[in-house]
Amino acid sequence: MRDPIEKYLENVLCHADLAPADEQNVRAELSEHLHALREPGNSATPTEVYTMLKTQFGNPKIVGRAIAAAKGRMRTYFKKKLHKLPLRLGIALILAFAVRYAVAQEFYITGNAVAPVIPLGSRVFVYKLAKSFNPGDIVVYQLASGQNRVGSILRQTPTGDWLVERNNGLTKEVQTIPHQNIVGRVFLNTR
Amino acid sequence: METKSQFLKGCARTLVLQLLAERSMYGYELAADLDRRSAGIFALGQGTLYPLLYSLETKGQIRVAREEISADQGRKRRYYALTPRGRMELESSISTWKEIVRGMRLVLESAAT
Repeated sequence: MRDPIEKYLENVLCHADLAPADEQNVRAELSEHLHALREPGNSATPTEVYTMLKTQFGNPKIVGRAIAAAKGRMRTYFKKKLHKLPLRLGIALILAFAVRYAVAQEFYITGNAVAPVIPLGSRVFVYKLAKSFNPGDIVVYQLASGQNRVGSILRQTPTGDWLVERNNGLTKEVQTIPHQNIVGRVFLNTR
Repeated sequence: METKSQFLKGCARTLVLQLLAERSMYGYELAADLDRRSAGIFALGQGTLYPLLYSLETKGQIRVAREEISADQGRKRRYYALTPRGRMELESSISTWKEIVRGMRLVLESAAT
């Protein structure tokens, strides 16, 4: 038999089912009391000590449940929820960033390249997993300089690149953009 | 026996408040003091003391005044002290008990004669 005091404590705390911080305090406090109870009879066997604790301190199940009731079951429930909150917020943030960088990204339109469909000052979301585009799709693409541009798909070239059309003053300009330079298709205009 | 243990629990609340009004104490000390001063009547089931302490703490009648942590095996002495709310509760509880004792004595003694 392992340490009878530990066994008794485990039994009480299992029935008390407290929030982590409370459990730590109660464990330390009861441990102090139980060790004080054992000290007069050092020569007792573990089984004898366990029986003595049950007689002197009480049935662990009843003590545990009484402690749970005294601490308030609702309070314990909320304390446990609160305890897990930072972890859940962390996971939510990581997921949000994962979505932000892998699936959808927000852009702010600072020109009239695709007006009037998407006018200057719009805030758009781009679907980054899009693999193929149709004529008329609005896409965001990256120039060799690293700058982002917005344009409208005309068609795909035989080599797999994309012809993208932009307004340039009163005329239109057409650029050939390599497939890998296209960030994604605009799927949401929040303006 | 069941009736007696329920009855003792009701009394223990007032007695714990009374002992803590005298000085701050930790659990084992409180149990030992209660046992000694009640001539063993309140010696049964020391484990019931802690639910009582926690419920008094939740109600704001007592608070942990200080803690003594021993290095071995994570044992901790938590010294409880009365709060002003606990003192008010103790006063009202004592006056209720005095009335009950007086009433009981009057009826029981008149029945015996």
